Amino acid sequence: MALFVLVGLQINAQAQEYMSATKYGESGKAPGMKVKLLSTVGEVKTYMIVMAKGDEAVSGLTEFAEKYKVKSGHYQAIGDALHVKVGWFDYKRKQFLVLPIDTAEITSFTGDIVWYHNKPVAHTHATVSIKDGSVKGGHLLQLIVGPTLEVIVTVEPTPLYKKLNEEFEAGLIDLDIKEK
Amino acid sequence: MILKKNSMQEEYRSTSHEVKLGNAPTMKVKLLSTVGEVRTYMVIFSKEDEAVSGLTDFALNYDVKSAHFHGIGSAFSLELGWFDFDRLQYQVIPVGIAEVTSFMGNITWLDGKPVVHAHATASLRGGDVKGGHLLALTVGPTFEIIVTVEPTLLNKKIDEEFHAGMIV
Repeated sequence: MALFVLVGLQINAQAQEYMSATKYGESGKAPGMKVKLLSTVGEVKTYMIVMAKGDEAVSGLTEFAEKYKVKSGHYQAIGDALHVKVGWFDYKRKQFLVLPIDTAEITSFTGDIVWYHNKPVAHTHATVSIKDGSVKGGHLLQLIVGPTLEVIVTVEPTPLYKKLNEEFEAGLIDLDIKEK
Repeated sequence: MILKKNSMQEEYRSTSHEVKLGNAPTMKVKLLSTVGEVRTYMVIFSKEDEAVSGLTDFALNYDVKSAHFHGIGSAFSLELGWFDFDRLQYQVIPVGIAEVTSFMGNITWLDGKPVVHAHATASLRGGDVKGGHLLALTVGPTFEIIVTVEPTLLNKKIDEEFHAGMIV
């Protein structure tokens, strides 16, 4: 069990993969990421982030939040993926059931950036379309960018934090936390 | 008003179905920024809040003249609607436990009441996606919505052809 917790996933007899809801992205896996400030209006900044082939999107957004000292942010994107892993939260196991998807158009990509245990967390939900046009989706666990991923990020001046929710074993935004 | 068609057990909902207020008792709201006359909020729902009811309450409590929003989260259940042009009603598509993969919409006014108009997609176990006009959404662990409140009043008017409120 300790090992399972350590690596954050379990594989059962049916080879279904599960992932912990508190395993978040680590920076450093999006070396091709580029960032451009589009506008500053009052204390709100809007950026275009473009990721390139092979970049991992969750890692890239986490790295952006660290480098640009993002207190909180929200974003929307479109693009392509060589490989995606989305999760469906299984209430019995309190873990994400992992669904792997190959080559896909990213048809929606929405999320927010808040802080948890002194690290930024990019929480994204996405839908992707596969070869026949049907759409799959879920909580984004991993996305390896195809030709490109274009993310519009709005960075807000107000810090937001997550807190561990014991019932669901997941980090959830708590608006009452002032600072941490 | 809920209408049932017995033979196929399909449920239809009127476009004038009224949203009950107060069904999101644990809703929390935080102002993220004010730029000129535009305010941006984070609205957080938790377990068993009803999202359409909560956003309607938000509109009443935060002096919303018009607004637009997008969010993500999880749902214990949703009711999605598909507009049936023959009946001029929404066919109700019930969805169970789901990740809400997209959620966007706007807030305008009709006959002195705020109207929350949202469309959503939701993914099931296995990743298949359903979507439609959002009739109701019972929140799972959490739901996170970014709401941008604009200074301009927007109104709806009932369209005679479609029996539905349209922004004018």
